[in-house]
Amino acid sequence: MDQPIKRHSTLALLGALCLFLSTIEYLIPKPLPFIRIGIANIPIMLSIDLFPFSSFFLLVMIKVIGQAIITGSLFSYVFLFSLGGTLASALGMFTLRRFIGKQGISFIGIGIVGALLSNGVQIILAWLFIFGPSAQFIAPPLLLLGLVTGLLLGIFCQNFSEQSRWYERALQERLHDKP
Amino acid sequence: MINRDRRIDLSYRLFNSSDLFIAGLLCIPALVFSHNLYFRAVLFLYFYVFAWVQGKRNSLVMTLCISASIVFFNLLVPYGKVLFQLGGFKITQGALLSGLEKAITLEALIMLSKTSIRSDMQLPGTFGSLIAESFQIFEELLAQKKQFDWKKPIESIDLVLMSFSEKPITQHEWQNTIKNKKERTAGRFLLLLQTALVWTFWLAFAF
Amino acid sequence: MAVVMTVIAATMKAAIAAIKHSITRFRPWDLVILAISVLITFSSFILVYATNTNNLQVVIEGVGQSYIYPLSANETISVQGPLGNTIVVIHQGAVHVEDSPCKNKLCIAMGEISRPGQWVACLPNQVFVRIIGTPAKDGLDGSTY
Repeated sequence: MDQPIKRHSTLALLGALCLFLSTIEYLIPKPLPFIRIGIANIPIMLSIDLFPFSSFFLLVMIKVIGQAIITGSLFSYVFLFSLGGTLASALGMFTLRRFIGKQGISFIGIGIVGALLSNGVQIILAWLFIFGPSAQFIAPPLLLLGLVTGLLLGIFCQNFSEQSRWYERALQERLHDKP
Repeated sequence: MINRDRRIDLSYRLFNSSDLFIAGLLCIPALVFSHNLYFRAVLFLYFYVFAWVQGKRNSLVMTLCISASIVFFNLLVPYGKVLFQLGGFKITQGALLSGLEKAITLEALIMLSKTSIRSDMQLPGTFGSLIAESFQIFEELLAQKKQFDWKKPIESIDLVLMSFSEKPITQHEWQNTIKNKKERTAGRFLLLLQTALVWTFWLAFAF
Repeated sequence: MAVVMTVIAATMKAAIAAIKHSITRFRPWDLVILAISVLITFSSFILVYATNTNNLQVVIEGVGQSYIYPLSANETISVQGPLGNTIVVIHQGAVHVEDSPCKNKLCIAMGEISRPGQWVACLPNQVFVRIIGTPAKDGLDGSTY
Protein backbone atom coordinates (compact mmCIF):
# COMPACT_ATOMS: atom_id res chain seq x y z
CA MET A 1 0.00 0.00 0.00
CA ASP A 2 1.64 3.19 -1.16
CA GLN A 3 0.35 6.12 0.81
CA PRO A 4 1.82 9.58 0.36
CA ILE A 5 0.89 10.46 3.95
CA LYS A 6 2.58 8.61 6.81
CA ARG A 7 0.31 7.63 9.66
CA HIS A 8 1.02 6.41 13.14
CA SER A 9 1.07 2.66 13.52
CA THR A 10 -1.58 1.09 15.72
CA LEU A 11 1.13 -0.36 17.90
CA ALA A 12 2.70 3.02 18.60
CA LEU A 13 -0.75 4.42 19.31
CA LEU A 14 -1.48 1.74 21.87
CA GLY A 15 1.99 2.31 23.31
CA ALA A 16 1.21 5.99 23.71
CA LEU A 17 -2.06 5.07 25.41
CA CYS A 18 -0.08 2.92 27.88
CA LEU A 19 2.12 5.92 28.66
CA PHE A 20 -0.88 8.19 29.07
CA LEU A 21 -2.67 5.79 31.41
CA SER A 22 0.56 5.30 33.39
CA THR A 23 0.65 9.04 33.97
CA ILE A 24 -2.96 9.08 35.12
CA GLU A 25 -2.37 6.20 37.48
CA TYR A 26 0.72 7.92 38.85
CA LEU A 27 -1.25 11.06 39.59
CA ILE A 28 -4.25 9.44 41.29
CA PRO A 29 -3.83 9.89 45.03
CA LYS A 30 -3.77 6.58 46.84
CA PRO A 31 -3.89 5.90 50.55
CA LEU A 32 -0.93 3.55 50.24
CA PRO A 33 1.57 3.95 47.41
CA PHE A 34 1.75 0.21 46.81
CA ILE A 35 -1.79 0.08 45.53
CA ARG A 36 -1.58 -0.54 41.82
CA ILE A 37 -4.74 -0.09 39.84
CA GLY A 38 -3.23 -1.27 36.62
CA ILE A 39 -5.11 0.93 34.15
CA ALA A 40 -1.97 1.02 32.07
CA ASN A 41 -2.60 -2.63 31.27
CA ILE A 42 -5.78 -1.88 29.34
CA PRO A 43 -4.02 -1.34 25.98
CA ILE A 44 -2.10 -4.55 26.58
CA MET A 45 -5.28 -6.51 27.15
CA LEU A 46 -6.94 -5.01 24.11
CA SER A 47 -3.96 -5.81 21.91
CA ILE A 48 -4.09 -9.56 22.60
CA ASP A 49 -6.50 -10.11 19.73
CA LEU A 50 -4.98 -7.47 17.50
CA PHE A 51 -1.38 -8.54 17.09
CA PRO A 52 0.88 -11.54 16.68
CA PHE A 53 2.96 -12.42 19.70
CA SER A 54 6.07 -10.56 18.60
CA SER A 55 4.25 -7.24 18.30
CA PHE A 56 2.37 -7.91 21.52
CA PHE A 57 5.66 -8.44 23.29
CA LEU A 58 7.01 -5.16 21.94
CA LEU A 59 3.97 -3.36 23.32
CA VAL A 60 4.48 -4.95 26.72
CA MET A 61 8.09 -3.72 26.75
CA ILE A 62 6.94 -0.24 25.78
CA LYS A 63 4.54 -0.26 28.69
CA VAL A 64 7.09 -1.48 31.22
CA ILE A 65 9.92 0.82 30.18
CA GLY A 66 7.63 3.73 29.43
CA GLN A 67 5.96 3.47 32.83
CA ALA A 68 9.38 3.31 34.49
CA ILE A 69 10.45 6.44 32.66
CA ILE A 70 7.30 8.34 33.59
CA THR A 71 7.31 7.43 37.26
CA GLY A 72 11.08 7.90 37.28
CA SER A 73 11.76 4.45 38.66
CA LEU A 74 13.88 3.11 35.82
CA PHE A 75 17.04 2.90 37.90
CA SER A 76 15.48 1.51 41.04
CA TYR A 77 14.61 -2.00 42.10
CA VAL A 78 10.94 -1.10 41.79
CA PHE A 79 11.50 -1.32 38.05
CA LEU A 80 12.65 -4.92 38.24
CA PHE A 81 9.58 -5.90 40.23
CA SER A 82 7.32 -4.11 37.78
CA LEU A 83 9.10 -5.82 34.89
CA GLY A 84 8.66 -9.27 36.38
CA GLY A 85 5.06 -8.72 37.32
CA THR A 86 3.99 -7.23 34.02
CA LEU A 87 5.81 -9.88 31.97
CA ALA A 88 4.24 -12.73 33.92
CA SER A 89 0.85 -11.07 33.70
CA ALA A 90 1.08 -10.34 29.96
CA LEU A 91 2.32 -13.82 29.05
CA GLY A 92 -0.41 -15.40 31.14
CA MET A 93 -3.14 -13.28 29.61
CA PHE A 94 -1.94 -13.85 26.06
CA THR A 95 -1.62 -17.59 26.45
CA LEU A 96 -4.99 -18.02 28.11
CA ARG A 97 -6.84 -15.93 25.57
CA ARG A 98 -5.22 -17.61 22.60
CA PHE A 99 -5.71 -21.10 23.92
CA ILE A 100 -9.25 -20.78 25.18
CA GLY A 101 -10.51 -18.33 22.59
CA LYS A 102 -12.89 -15.41 22.72
CA GLN A 103 -15.96 -17.51 23.26
CA GLY A 104 -14.54 -19.40 26.17
CA ILE A 105 -13.10 -16.51 28.15
CA SER A 106 -13.86 -12.82 28.03
CA PHE A 107 -11.71 -9.90 29.13
CA ILE A 108 -13.22 -10.27 32.58
CA GLY A 109 -11.44 -13.51 33.27
CA ILE A 110 -8.33 -12.29 31.48
CA GLY A 111 -8.29 -9.18 33.64
CA ILE A 112 -8.51 -11.17 36.85
CA VAL A 113 -5.74 -13.53 35.80
CA GLY A 114 -3.54 -10.64 34.70
CA ALA A 115 -3.94 -8.70 37.91
CA LEU A 116 -3.36 -11.72 40.16
CA LEU A 117 -0.28 -12.80 38.22
CA SER A 118 1.14 -9.29 38.29
CA ASN A 119 0.63 -8.79 42.03
CA GLY A 120 1.57 -12.35 42.87
CA VAL A 121 4.88 -12.29 41.01
CA GLN A 122 5.77 -8.93 42.55
CA ILE A 123 5.09 -10.28 46.03
CA ILE A 124 7.31 -13.27 45.32
CA LEU A 125 10.11 -11.05 44.03
CA ALA A 126 9.83 -8.76 47.05
CA TRP A 127 9.90 -11.81 49.28
CA LEU A 128 13.02 -13.18 47.66
CA PHE A 129 15.01 -10.01 47.25
CA ILE A 130 13.93 -7.27 49.61
CA PHE A 131 11.69 -8.11 52.53
CA GLY A 132 12.23 -11.76 53.18
CA PRO A 133 9.55 -13.78 54.92
CA SER A 134 7.85 -10.67 56.29
CA ALA A 135 6.64 -10.02 52.75
CA GLN A 136 3.91 -12.57 53.32
CA PHE A 137 2.02 -10.19 55.57
CA ILE A 138 1.18 -7.87 52.76
CA ALA A 139 0.31 -10.67 50.35
CA PRO A 140 -3.37 -11.29 51.17
CA PRO A 141 -4.53 -7.66 50.85
CA LEU A 142 -2.56 -7.28 47.62
CA LEU A 143 -4.11 -10.41 46.19
CA LEU A 144 -7.57 -9.22 47.14
CA LEU A 145 -6.81 -5.87 45.55
CA GLY A 146 -5.64 -7.67 42.42
CA LEU A 147 -8.84 -9.65 42.28
CA VAL A 148 -11.01 -6.55 42.53
CA THR A 149 -9.02 -4.35 40.16
CA GLY A 150 -8.64 -7.19 37.67
CA LEU A 151 -12.38 -7.73 37.69
CA LEU A 152 -13.17 -4.05 37.14
CA LEU A 153 -10.53 -3.60 34.46
CA GLY A 154 -11.70 -6.73 32.71
CA ILE A 155 -15.27 -5.49 32.68
CA PHE A 156 -14.16 -2.16 31.27
CA CYS A 157 -12.10 -3.81 28.55
CA GLN A 158 -14.93 -6.10 27.62
CA ASN A 159 -17.28 -3.16 27.27
CA PHE A 160 -14.73 -1.20 25.32
CA SER A 161 -14.00 -4.02 22.92
CA GLU A 162 -17.71 -4.34 22.19
CA GLN A 163 -18.51 -0.65 21.82
CA SER A 164 -15.43 0.91 20.28
CA ARG A 165 -15.44 1.54 16.57
CA TRP A 166 -11.71 2.01 16.59
CA TYR A 167 -11.24 -1.41 18.10
CA GLU A 168 -13.54 -3.01 15.58
CA ARG A 169 -11.62 -1.42 12.74
CA ALA A 170 -8.29 -2.56 14.15
CA LEU A 171 -9.72 -6.06 14.47
CA GLN A 172 -10.80 -6.01 10.83
CA GLU A 173 -7.34 -4.90 9.75
CA ARG A 174 -5.83 -7.76 11.65
CA LEU A 175 -8.15 -10.28 10.03
CA HIS A 176 -7.25 -8.93 6.63
CA ASP A 177 -3.55 -9.14 7.35
CA LYS A 178 -3.73 -12.79 8.30
CA PRO A 179 -2.99 -15.01 5.32
CA MET B 1 8.99 31.06 39.14
CA ILE B 2 10.67 30.18 35.92
CA ASN B 3 8.12 28.81 33.51
CA ARG B 4 8.17 25.04 33.12
CA ASP B 5 8.26 25.21 29.33
CA ARG B 6 11.29 27.47 29.51
CA ARG B 7 13.01 25.02 31.81
CA ILE B 8 12.29 22.15 29.44
CA ASP B 9 13.62 24.22 26.59
CA LEU B 10 16.75 25.02 28.58
CA SER B 11 17.26 21.34 29.29
CA TYR B 12 17.04 20.46 25.62
CA ARG B 13 19.45 23.24 24.68
CA LEU B 14 22.04 22.41 27.30
CA PHE B 15 22.05 18.66 27.50
CA ASN B 16 22.43 15.77 25.14
CA SER B 17 20.10 12.97 26.19
CA SER B 18 22.82 10.30 26.03
CA ASP B 19 25.08 12.44 28.20
CA LEU B 20 22.32 12.74 30.75
CA PHE B 21 21.81 8.99 30.72
CA ILE B 22 25.48 8.19 31.24
CA ALA B 23 25.89 10.84 33.95
CA GLY B 24 22.95 9.37 35.80
CA LEU B 25 24.25 5.84 35.42
CA LEU B 26 27.62 6.88 36.82
CA CYS B 27 26.07 8.35 39.94
CA ILE B 28 24.21 5.20 40.87
CA PRO B 29 27.11 3.39 42.57
CA ALA B 30 27.83 6.50 44.60
CA LEU B 31 24.29 6.41 45.87
CA VAL B 32 23.84 2.71 46.35
CA PHE B 33 27.23 1.93 47.84
CA SER B 34 27.50 4.83 50.24
CA HIS B 35 27.49 4.30 53.98
CA ASN B 36 26.48 7.73 55.10
CA LEU B 37 22.78 8.51 55.32
CA TYR B 38 23.39 12.26 55.17
CA PHE B 39 25.27 11.82 51.92
CA ARG B 40 22.32 9.96 50.43
CA ALA B 41 19.97 12.66 51.66
CA VAL B 42 22.13 15.32 50.01
CA LEU B 43 22.12 13.37 46.76
CA PHE B 44 18.34 13.11 46.98
CA LEU B 45 18.01 16.88 47.42
CA TYR B 46 20.44 17.56 44.62
CA PHE B 47 18.65 15.34 42.11
CA TYR B 48 15.28 16.64 43.24
CA VAL B 49 16.39 20.15 42.37
CA PHE B 50 18.05 19.03 39.15
CA ALA B 51 14.85 17.28 38.06
CA TRP B 52 12.94 20.47 38.75
CA VAL B 53 15.47 22.50 36.76
CA GLN B 54 14.89 20.22 33.80
CA GLY B 55 11.17 20.80 34.07
CA LYS B 56 10.30 17.24 35.11
CA ARG B 57 6.99 16.64 36.77
CA ASN B 58 7.02 15.47 40.34
CA SER B 59 4.30 15.27 42.93
CA LEU B 60 5.79 16.19 46.29
CA VAL B 61 2.78 14.59 47.94
CA MET B 62 3.60 11.28 46.28
CA THR B 63 7.23 11.51 47.32
CA LEU B 64 6.32 12.19 50.93
CA CYS B 65 3.62 9.52 51.00
CA ILE B 66 5.89 6.84 49.61
CA SER B 67 8.65 7.78 52.04
CA ALA B 68 6.25 7.89 54.97
CA SER B 69 4.79 4.49 54.22
CA ILE B 70 8.22 2.88 53.82
CA VAL B 71 9.24 4.30 57.18
CA PHE B 72 5.91 3.23 58.69
CA PHE B 73 6.24 -0.37 57.51
CA ASN B 74 9.77 -0.53 58.82
CA LEU B 75 8.68 0.84 62.19
CA LEU B 76 6.21 -2.01 62.55
CA VAL B 77 9.04 -4.37 63.49
CA PRO B 78 10.69 -2.70 66.48
CA TYR B 79 14.46 -2.80 66.58
CA GLY B 80 16.86 -1.03 68.86
CA LYS B 81 16.57 1.78 71.32
CA VAL B 82 13.09 3.01 72.02
CA LEU B 83 12.95 6.69 71.11
CA PHE B 84 9.38 7.43 72.09
CA GLN B 85 5.99 5.87 72.29
CA LEU B 86 2.73 6.71 70.54
CA GLY B 87 0.01 4.98 72.49
CA GLY B 88 1.10 1.38 72.54
CA PHE B 89 3.30 1.74 69.50
CA LYS B 90 7.02 2.02 70.12
CA ILE B 91 9.23 3.97 67.74
CA THR B 92 12.67 2.41 67.73
CA GLN B 93 15.91 3.90 66.52
CA GLY B 94 17.09 0.95 64.47
CA ALA B 95 13.79 0.55 62.67
CA LEU B 96 13.52 4.29 62.06
CA LEU B 97 17.00 4.57 60.56
CA SER B 98 16.44 1.49 58.45
CA GLY B 99 13.19 2.88 57.14
CA LEU B 100 14.68 6.30 56.46
CA GLU B 101 17.60 4.74 54.63
CA LYS B 102 15.34 2.70 52.37
CA ALA B 103 13.03 5.63 51.72
CA ILE B 104 15.80 8.13 50.98
CA THR B 105 17.67 5.72 48.76
CA LEU B 106 14.57 4.86 46.78
CA GLU B 107 13.52 8.49 46.32
CA ALA B 108 17.05 9.51 45.40
CA LEU B 109 17.12 6.78 42.74
CA ILE B 110 13.77 7.99 41.46
CA MET B 111 14.96 11.59 41.20
CA LEU B 112 18.14 10.42 39.54
CA SER B 113 16.12 8.48 36.99
CA LYS B 114 14.02 11.52 36.27
CA THR B 115 17.08 13.58 35.47
CA SER B 116 18.79 10.95 33.36
CA ILE B 117 16.07 9.89 30.99
CA ARG B 118 14.50 12.08 28.42
CA SER B 119 11.96 11.03 25.86
CA ASP B 120 14.12 11.97 22.88
CA MET B 121 16.71 9.40 23.79
CA GLN B 122 17.50 7.13 20.87
CA LEU B 123 17.20 3.47 21.66
CA PRO B 124 18.48 1.10 19.02
CA GLY B 125 16.42 -0.96 16.65
CA THR B 126 12.74 -1.37 15.95
CA PHE B 127 11.99 -1.08 19.62
CA GLY B 128 13.85 2.22 19.80
CA SER B 129 11.95 3.92 17.03
CA LEU B 130 8.68 2.42 18.23
CA ILE B 131 9.00 3.72 21.75
CA ALA B 132 10.17 7.07 20.44
CA GLU B 133 7.04 7.26 18.31
CA SER B 134 4.88 6.30 21.28
CA PHE B 135 6.40 9.07 23.35
CA GLN B 136 5.76 11.51 20.54
CA ILE B 137 2.07 10.57 20.39
CA PHE B 138 1.99 10.69 24.16
CA GLU B 139 3.16 14.30 24.24
CA GLU B 140 0.40 15.19 21.79
CA LEU B 141 -2.14 13.26 23.85
CA LEU B 142 -1.20 15.23 26.93
CA ALA B 143 -1.94 18.43 25.11
CA GLN B 144 -5.45 17.14 24.38
CA LYS B 145 -6.21 15.96 27.87
CA LYS B 146 -8.89 18.56 28.42
CA GLN B 147 -11.22 17.12 25.83
CA PHE B 148 -11.76 13.97 27.83
CA ASP B 149 -15.34 13.40 28.93
CA TRP B 150 -15.46 11.49 32.18
CA LYS B 151 -19.13 10.61 31.89
CA LYS B 152 -18.63 8.72 28.67
CA PRO B 153 -15.13 7.29 28.91
CA ILE B 154 -15.41 4.76 26.13
CA GLU B 155 -16.71 7.18 23.57
CA SER B 156 -14.09 9.79 24.25
CA ILE B 157 -11.21 7.32 24.24
CA ASP B 158 -12.58 6.00 21.01
CA LEU B 159 -12.74 9.44 19.44
CA VAL B 160 -9.19 10.20 20.49
CA LEU B 161 -7.92 6.92 19.10
CA MET B 162 -9.73 7.40 15.81
CA SER B 163 -8.43 10.92 15.41
CA PHE B 164 -4.86 9.87 16.10
CA SER B 165 -4.91 6.90 13.82
CA GLU B 166 -6.00 9.12 10.99
CA LYS B 167 -3.94 12.22 11.48
CA PRO B 168 -0.64 12.37 9.65
CA ILE B 169 2.63 12.51 11.54
CA THR B 170 3.96 15.97 12.22
CA GLN B 171 7.63 16.63 12.67
CA HIS B 172 8.46 18.85 15.57
CA GLU B 173 10.84 21.65 14.85
CA TRP B 174 12.93 21.18 17.92
CA GLN B 175 13.64 17.60 17.00
CA ASN B 176 15.23 18.52 13.73
CA THR B 177 17.17 21.74 14.25
CA ILE B 178 20.87 21.40 14.60
CA LYS B 179 21.59 22.04 18.22
CA ASN B 180 23.79 24.89 19.28
CA LYS B 181 27.12 23.19 19.81
CA LYS B 182 28.42 25.66 22.33
CA GLU B 183 25.50 25.23 24.67
CA ARG B 184 25.67 21.45 24.43
CA THR B 185 29.37 21.45 25.20
CA ALA B 186 28.76 23.62 28.24
CA GLY B 187 26.09 21.19 29.34
CA ARG B 188 28.41 18.24 28.87
CA PHE B 189 31.00 19.99 31.01
CA LEU B 190 28.42 20.60 33.71
CA LEU B 191 27.50 16.91 33.76
CA LEU B 192 31.16 15.90 33.98
CA LEU B 193 31.57 18.32 36.87
CA GLN B 194 28.51 16.84 38.55
CA THR B 195 29.85 13.32 38.23
CA ALA B 196 33.30 14.31 39.48
CA LEU B 197 31.89 16.11 42.51
CA VAL B 198 29.57 13.25 43.41
CA TRP B 199 32.37 10.71 43.19
CA THR B 200 34.77 12.90 45.16
CA PHE B 201 32.36 13.40 48.02
CA TRP B 202 31.36 9.76 47.92
CA LEU B 203 34.89 8.42 48.14
CA ALA B 204 35.91 10.99 50.71
CA PHE B 205 33.01 10.77 53.12
CA ALA B 206 30.74 7.88 52.50
CA PHE B 207 32.60 4.96 51.02
CA MET C 1 -8.72 18.15 44.08
CA ALA C 2 -12.38 18.55 43.16
CA VAL C 3 -11.56 17.22 39.71
CA VAL C 4 -10.12 14.08 41.23
CA MET C 5 -13.21 13.55 43.38
CA THR C 6 -15.53 13.82 40.39
CA VAL C 7 -13.29 11.43 38.51
CA ILE C 8 -13.48 8.87 41.26
CA ALA C 9 -17.23 9.28 41.66
CA ALA C 10 -17.87 8.95 37.93
CA THR C 11 -15.61 5.92 37.72
CA MET C 12 -17.46 4.22 40.52
CA LYS C 13 -20.83 4.95 38.97
CA ALA C 14 -19.63 3.61 35.66
CA ALA C 15 -18.14 0.60 37.38
CA ILE C 16 -21.38 -0.29 39.14
CA ALA C 17 -23.35 0.12 35.94
CA ALA C 18 -20.87 -1.97 34.03
CA ILE C 19 -20.93 -4.71 36.61
CA LYS C 20 -24.72 -4.88 36.51
CA HIS C 21 -24.61 -4.96 32.75
CA SER C 22 -22.04 -7.65 32.45
CA ILE C 23 -23.14 -10.18 35.04
CA THR C 24 -25.15 -11.72 32.23
CA ARG C 25 -22.23 -11.69 29.86
CA PHE C 26 -19.81 -13.92 31.73
CA ARG C 27 -18.29 -16.62 29.63
CA PRO C 28 -17.73 -20.08 31.14
CA TRP C 29 -14.02 -19.73 31.90
CA ASP C 30 -14.59 -16.31 33.48
CA LEU C 31 -16.58 -18.01 36.20
CA VAL C 32 -13.99 -20.74 36.64
CA ILE C 33 -11.25 -18.17 37.00
CA LEU C 34 -13.31 -16.01 39.30
CA ALA C 35 -14.01 -18.98 41.56
CA ILE C 36 -10.37 -20.09 41.65
CA SER C 37 -9.20 -16.54 42.33
CA VAL C 38 -11.62 -16.02 45.19
CA LEU C 39 -10.46 -19.30 46.65
CA ILE C 40 -6.78 -18.39 46.38
CA THR C 41 -7.33 -14.93 47.83
CA PHE C 42 -9.29 -16.06 50.84
CA SER C 43 -7.04 -18.96 51.66
CA SER C 44 -4.07 -16.60 51.57
CA PHE C 45 -5.73 -14.60 54.33
CA ILE C 46 -6.13 -17.67 56.46
CA LEU C 47 -2.68 -19.06 55.73
CA VAL C 48 -0.83 -15.88 56.53
CA TYR C 49 -2.75 -14.37 59.39
CA ALA C 50 -3.87 -17.35 61.40
CA THR C 51 -0.71 -19.39 61.57
CA ASN C 52 1.98 -16.80 62.07
CA THR C 53 2.79 -16.48 65.73
CA ASN C 54 6.57 -16.54 65.93
CA ASN C 55 7.28 -13.10 67.32
CA LEU C 56 9.54 -13.43 70.32
CA GLN C 57 11.17 -10.19 71.41
CA VAL C 58 13.84 -9.17 73.87
CA VAL C 59 13.00 -6.14 76.03
CA ILE C 60 15.90 -4.46 77.80
CA GLU C 61 15.15 -1.75 80.32
CA GLY C 62 17.65 0.56 81.97
CA VAL C 63 17.59 3.96 83.63
CA GLY C 64 15.64 6.29 81.35
CA GLN C 65 16.06 4.04 78.33
CA SER C 66 14.63 0.89 76.86
CA TYR C 67 15.40 -1.34 73.91
CA ILE C 68 13.47 -3.91 71.91
CA TYR C 69 14.98 -6.47 69.59
CA PRO C 70 13.67 -9.59 67.92
CA LEU C 71 15.05 -12.70 69.56
CA SER C 72 16.53 -13.66 66.21
CA ALA C 73 18.79 -10.60 66.15
CA ASN C 74 22.56 -10.65 66.62
CA GLU C 75 23.42 -7.61 68.66
CA THR C 76 25.62 -6.41 71.48
CA ILE C 77 23.91 -3.70 73.50
CA SER C 78 25.61 -1.50 76.03
CA VAL C 79 23.12 -0.29 78.63
CA GLN C 80 24.14 2.68 80.75
CA GLY C 81 23.35 2.49 84.43
CA PRO C 82 24.38 4.24 87.65
CA LEU C 83 27.42 1.95 88.03
CA GLY C 84 28.51 1.91 84.41
CA ASN C 85 27.71 -0.09 81.29
CA THR C 86 26.05 -3.48 81.32
CA ILE C 87 26.72 -5.44 78.15
CA VAL C 88 23.81 -7.55 76.91
CA VAL C 89 24.34 -9.95 74.04
CA ILE C 90 21.61 -11.37 71.80
CA HIS C 91 22.95 -14.22 69.72
CA GLN C 92 21.50 -17.27 68.00
CA GLY C 93 18.12 -17.05 69.62
CA ALA C 94 19.29 -16.50 73.19
CA VAL C 95 20.15 -13.54 75.44
CA HIS C 96 22.65 -13.22 78.23
CA VAL C 97 24.57 -10.58 80.12
CA GLU C 98 28.16 -10.57 78.94
CA ASP C 99 29.60 -8.09 81.40
CA SER C 100 28.44 -5.72 84.11
CA PRO C 101 30.07 -3.29 86.58
CA CYS C 102 28.21 -4.74 89.58
CA LYS C 103 30.13 -6.40 92.42
CA ASN C 104 28.57 -9.85 92.58
CA LYS C 105 28.11 -10.48 88.84
CA LEU C 106 24.92 -12.39 89.58
CA CYS C 107 23.43 -11.23 86.28
CA ILE C 108 26.19 -12.92 84.32
CA ALA C 109 25.83 -16.08 86.37
CA MET C 110 22.12 -16.22 85.49
CA GLY C 111 23.26 -17.44 82.14
CA GLU C 112 21.24 -17.25 78.97
CA ILE C 113 17.51 -17.14 78.43
CA SER C 114 15.55 -18.01 75.31
CA ARG C 115 11.89 -18.45 76.17
CA PRO C 116 9.09 -15.95 76.78
CA GLY C 117 8.62 -15.11 80.43
CA GLN C 118 12.26 -15.71 81.31
CA TRP C 119 14.31 -12.81 82.58
CA VAL C 120 17.77 -11.74 83.68
CA ALA C 121 18.54 -8.63 85.71
CA CYS C 122 21.43 -6.62 87.11
CA LEU C 123 19.79 -5.02 90.11
CA PRO C 124 22.72 -2.83 91.22
CA ASN C 125 22.99 -1.30 87.78
CA GLN C 126 19.21 -1.27 87.28
CA VAL C 127 19.14 -3.26 84.06
CA PHE C 128 16.29 -5.68 83.32
CA VAL C 129 16.25 -8.09 80.42
CA ARG C 130 13.23 -10.20 79.58
CA ILE C 131 11.71 -12.12 76.69
CA ILE C 132 8.12 -11.48 75.62
CA GLY C 133 5.87 -12.82 72.92
CA THR C 134 4.07 -15.94 71.88
CA PRO C 135 6.04 -18.85 70.49
CA ALA C 136 5.01 -20.72 67.37
CA LYS C 137 2.64 -23.61 67.95
CA ASP C 138 5.26 -26.29 67.66
CA GLY C 139 7.48 -24.70 70.25
CA LEU C 140 10.14 -23.32 67.94
CA ASP C 141 11.84 -20.29 69.34
CA GLY C 142 13.63 -17.38 67.76
CA SER C 143 16.73 -19.30 66.84
CA THR C 144 15.01 -21.26 64.15
CA TYR C 145 13.28 -18.25 62.58
